[in-house]
Amino acid sequence: MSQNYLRTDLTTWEIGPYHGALPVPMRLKLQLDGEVIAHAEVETGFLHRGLEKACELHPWKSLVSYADHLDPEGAVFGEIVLTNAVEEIFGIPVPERAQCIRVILCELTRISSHLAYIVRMAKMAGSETIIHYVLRDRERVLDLFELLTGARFSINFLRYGGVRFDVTEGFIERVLELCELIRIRIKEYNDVFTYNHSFIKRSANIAPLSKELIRHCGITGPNARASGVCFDLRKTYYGKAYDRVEFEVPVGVGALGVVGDVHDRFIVRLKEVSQSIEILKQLVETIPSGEYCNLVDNKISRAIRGEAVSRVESSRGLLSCYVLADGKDTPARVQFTTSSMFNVKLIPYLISGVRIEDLPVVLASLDLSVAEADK
Amino acid sequence: MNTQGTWIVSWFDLVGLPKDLPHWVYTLVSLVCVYLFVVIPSAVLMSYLDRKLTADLQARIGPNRAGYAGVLQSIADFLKLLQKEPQFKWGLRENLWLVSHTMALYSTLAVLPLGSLALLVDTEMSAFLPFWATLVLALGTMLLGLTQASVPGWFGGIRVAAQTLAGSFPALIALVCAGVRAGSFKWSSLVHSQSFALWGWAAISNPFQTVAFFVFIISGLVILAIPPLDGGLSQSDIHGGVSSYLHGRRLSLFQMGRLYGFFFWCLITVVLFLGGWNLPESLVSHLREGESWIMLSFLELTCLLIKTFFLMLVVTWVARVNTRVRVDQITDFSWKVLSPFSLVALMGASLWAGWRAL
Amino acid sequence: MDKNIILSKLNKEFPTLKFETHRFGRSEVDSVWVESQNLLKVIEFLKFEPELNMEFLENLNVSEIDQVLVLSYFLTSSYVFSEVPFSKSIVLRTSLVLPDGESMVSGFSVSHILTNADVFEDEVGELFGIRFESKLNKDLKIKRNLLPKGLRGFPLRKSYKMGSVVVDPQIKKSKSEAGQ
Repeated sequence: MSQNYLRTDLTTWEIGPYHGALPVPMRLKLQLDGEVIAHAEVETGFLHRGLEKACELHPWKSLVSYADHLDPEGAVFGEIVLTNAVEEIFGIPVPERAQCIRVILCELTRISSHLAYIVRMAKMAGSETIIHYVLRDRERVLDLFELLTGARFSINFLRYGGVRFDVTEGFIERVLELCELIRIRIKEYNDVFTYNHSFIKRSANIAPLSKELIRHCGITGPNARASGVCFDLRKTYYGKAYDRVEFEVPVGVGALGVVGDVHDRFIVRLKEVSQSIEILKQLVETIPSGEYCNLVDNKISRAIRGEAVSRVESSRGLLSCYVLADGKDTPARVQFTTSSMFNVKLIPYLISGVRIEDLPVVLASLDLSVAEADK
Repeated sequence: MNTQGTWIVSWFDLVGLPKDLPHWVYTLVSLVCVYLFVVIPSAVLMSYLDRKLTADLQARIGPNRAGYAGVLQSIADFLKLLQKEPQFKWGLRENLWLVSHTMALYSTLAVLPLGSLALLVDTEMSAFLPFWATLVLALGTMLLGLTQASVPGWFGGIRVAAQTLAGSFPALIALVCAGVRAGSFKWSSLVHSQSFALWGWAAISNPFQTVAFFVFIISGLVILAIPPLDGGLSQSDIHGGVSSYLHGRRLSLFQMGRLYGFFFWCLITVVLFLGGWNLPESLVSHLREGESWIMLSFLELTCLLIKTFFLMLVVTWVARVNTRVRVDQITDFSWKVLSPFSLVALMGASLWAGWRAL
Repeated sequence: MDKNIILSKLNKEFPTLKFETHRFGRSEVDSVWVESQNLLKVIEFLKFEPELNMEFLENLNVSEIDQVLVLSYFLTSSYVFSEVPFSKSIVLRTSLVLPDGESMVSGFSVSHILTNADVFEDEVGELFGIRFESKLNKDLKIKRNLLPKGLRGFPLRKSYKMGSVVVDPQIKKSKSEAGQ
């Protein structure tokens, strides 16, 4: 901090859209006081793809493949939020087996997304050994996606009224094997990385997120839970096969630093992976028999006009979708609201007062997806 | 010619050079030979071992295309870097860096202790000369960073200067500890006071020397910005700092300089604390009686280099497993942890040596 | 019943205003039509009323229906400092008349009351061509430039013709001069 009698100037440094410190394409204009960031400005919009307009121009059947490009790492969340909204408008019932399959895919995607988060954090902190191990385990999750849906990332699997294919005994066996594998590996990651003293020094007590800032910016998801705000849509609002399983919602307690610092955000996501494993084990063992898709009355009829909002707890936070149908072949409006939009708003507030060397770690800890933020 | 020169004569005999050339020719030739036949092969071998070991730790294969099992990878990388065109025209400042860097760093070739017969400079100041060279190297790197018009280079230069300053103090004190034990700073006496066997090494002889050993090696990493303590050359936020705008030949010069610094710091640590080039007594006396100087120097060099490589690999291992430490945490650690430990080690070592002398 | 509390309080506080209430889709949430000049008062009341405390703007949706822009404000009770998040929700609707041609529409910004509204207002402002007049000093910390520089027209309006991308000739000229 500059003293009163020592006149120092702030250095301006603009980085972006591509830079090693930035996890996503965006432009940051930083005012530096020595090595500490005094003031920051963010510019995004580099990945705007016109997703919402494209949804307005395509027939109802094709919307699912646009929705799963909303967040490439968490494709199924975009699909599920769109299909729920459309099913609510047109009154299409979804069989229980299909709901279970959808939730299984959600939890697998959550595991895959959080493993990728570990990779990004490790890379920014400078530890490159753990990256390869985590990516190898993530390949096992992606193998499961490929087995069921045919694709690793943009799965295009959900349909109005259910899902595209049924799960088989072989798939269920492999899910249980994966759960066991990830459970063992989490312990390994904790030994090598999470409780490694040098990583704790890079992440504890850094950039704590206060509840006031959460309220100001509307932050949801693991970032908010790490600061003590216990809000998980799966427990409070959602229902839909989540009420068949028992699980806990991990909340940050600041065990190794202050509540809501970078390390807390990391730990909360690791604990969520453990809880996702529990959910998966319970679900695949009690999956109800029945239809995997409602093929009888899942037609989109032109006679129905209406609107609906659906929400889902995605791996990054609250994801909601508004759909408006006005009796035509294409929707009148599709709008997605993602948590990354608010995380971008949070960045300038969070990184003021942080050292420039901690900037990559702090930005990676927010789990930003610019594809979600810019749509 | 004195004993120190005897070994040169035997090598020249082998090669077939005349014996009546002026001394500076012999010195020059021997320096070039040391560089070409000791430093360069060590660098190639070390970088290969580093990459393969790192790959092993990370569950991947590593270089396996250039040559059998990738042994020629370092040479291939070097040749590739040589042919890249530099982007900026170099001015006076950059050339100044080049001269000072080269002069400082490679002048230590003359001081490298490579065996009992291969010592060109064996005076009371020998142990301090490489240390001086690292300081000039840091000055050169700092100037290189500050002359850049961009924030990454600037920050890199300042960070390197801060790290060097923080690391020099404990390194110097630990160096003095080693000298206190041996009674002198000549390479020959430093090594002679240790033995081949493990219990004769300086690092194990008394607890204060162990502390001095750890302080010396860690503060060396701080001064030279070797991973994991390479906050000054951090890749993730300032794109390498001073090297962010170096490409092609200049980058290869920079990387070679860093590798050489790491190599000679580990070499000096081995000489000071880990037994140096000592071979079993019986073998040494046998070789000396038989006047087989070439065999003796070759075996001593091999022993020394094996220990050096082992130390370098241990440091690399620690670097790969842990995260990079932030630069202010490095300097904090150096001032608040290493320096007090080094002072305690010096006091303890002096008392021990004094008590033994009584 | 939660929704009755909200409506009854609104009617009590604003007896002169007539609120047109519908059901939102097939859900239990009410959607209330408000005149655009009364919107700020209603939102302020809903936020600061102690029992309601509806300070989280979950979504601000703008849709074009029959040449009119309908703005829907999805307000819910806070999830940060309350035990039961999302316990109360309401949808406030207002409308803006869409002018002919490609000119911008003016609307009132609510970002001085609902702090996360500027995220939505920036986005729909750029894509629909709505200028939200704000009472705050515009916080310049975040800029979102979604559309390419010099793009004419507002993509999300129904009158926007796909494939007719018109880039400002000045921009094109300066780019070619720069040798790109």
